[in-house]
Amino acid sequence: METTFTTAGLRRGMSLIWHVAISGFFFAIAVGVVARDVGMSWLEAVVMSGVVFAGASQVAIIDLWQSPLPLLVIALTTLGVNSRMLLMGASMREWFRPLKRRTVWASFFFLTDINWAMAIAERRKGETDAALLMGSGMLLWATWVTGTAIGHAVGGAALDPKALAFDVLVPAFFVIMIKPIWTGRKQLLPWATAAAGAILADAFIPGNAHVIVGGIAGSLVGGLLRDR
Amino acid sequence: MTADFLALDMSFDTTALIAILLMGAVTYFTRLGGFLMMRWIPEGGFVSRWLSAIPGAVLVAILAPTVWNIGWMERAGLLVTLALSAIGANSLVAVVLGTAAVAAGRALL
Repeated sequence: METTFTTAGLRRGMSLIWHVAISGFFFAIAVGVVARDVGMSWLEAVVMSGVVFAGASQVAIIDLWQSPLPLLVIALTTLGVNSRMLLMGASMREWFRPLKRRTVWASFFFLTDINWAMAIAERRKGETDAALLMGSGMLLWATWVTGTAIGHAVGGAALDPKALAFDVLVPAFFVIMIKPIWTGRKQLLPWATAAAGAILADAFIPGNAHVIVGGIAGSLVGGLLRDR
Repeated sequence: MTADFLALDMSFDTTALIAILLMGAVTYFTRLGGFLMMRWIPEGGFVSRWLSAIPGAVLVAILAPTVWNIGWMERAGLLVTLALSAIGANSLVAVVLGTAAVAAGRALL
């Protein structure tokens, strides 16, 4: 399939993700509140959100944030929690390979679970414009940094998004990716393997390992199945 | 709110900066590394089938523990979203109605 990269694609990426950016904003507020509780300065918390831009790992290192900072453990925890994105990047090969190196390197800074899933779902529907990933990621990044800044400034006074069911918004957004990514019954076995692997990993392995465990197990089963 | 509400802590510890840059470098490696590594892996056959199976497997792996751990009301909300998207409803409508169903359920029960 063809690959393009346009500014219109950047804008469309933003418009496809704005409702997720809202719940990401509330998650960022919570991250800012927690960062303040463990003694991170406002500037440190904001810079972390801007540089790292990966919520699960930022939450995972919160317990490690004490003096002296265990740098190696922090780095390894970050690697463990975020290694799932290696799989997501690998799955983008066919789409992003024709692009210039600096376009690729800039685009992948903005890869997160949710805009990867959105972009890949659009690709399955025939999308050519690879700028979707970067555009959606830029909006998520802006709301993520802003949310952290507000959360840290306001502290525990932040509102409770649970009453508005914002905690369901993110899984719901992943749910709508199921249909475009589902290609038929051949996927039942890989998907069941992925689900079982993820649930077991979630129960028995600490540190957000469920995505990479389920993702590797399920995709390998899918690779081993012939004539799909 | 007192005046210190706006007194943002602008201090920056050197070790904290190193920790943040380390986390950033590691995270950027995970974002870009998977794509770059595919350059050395031959195409075709198993690799093509494996790559095309990744999106579904990762999506299911993200969702499965959540669905396993949440309550029946949240599951019902996600089912509303799934059903609407399966019959071809607009994505935003599907997400909003599924989420609204949970918010309404929580308010009522």
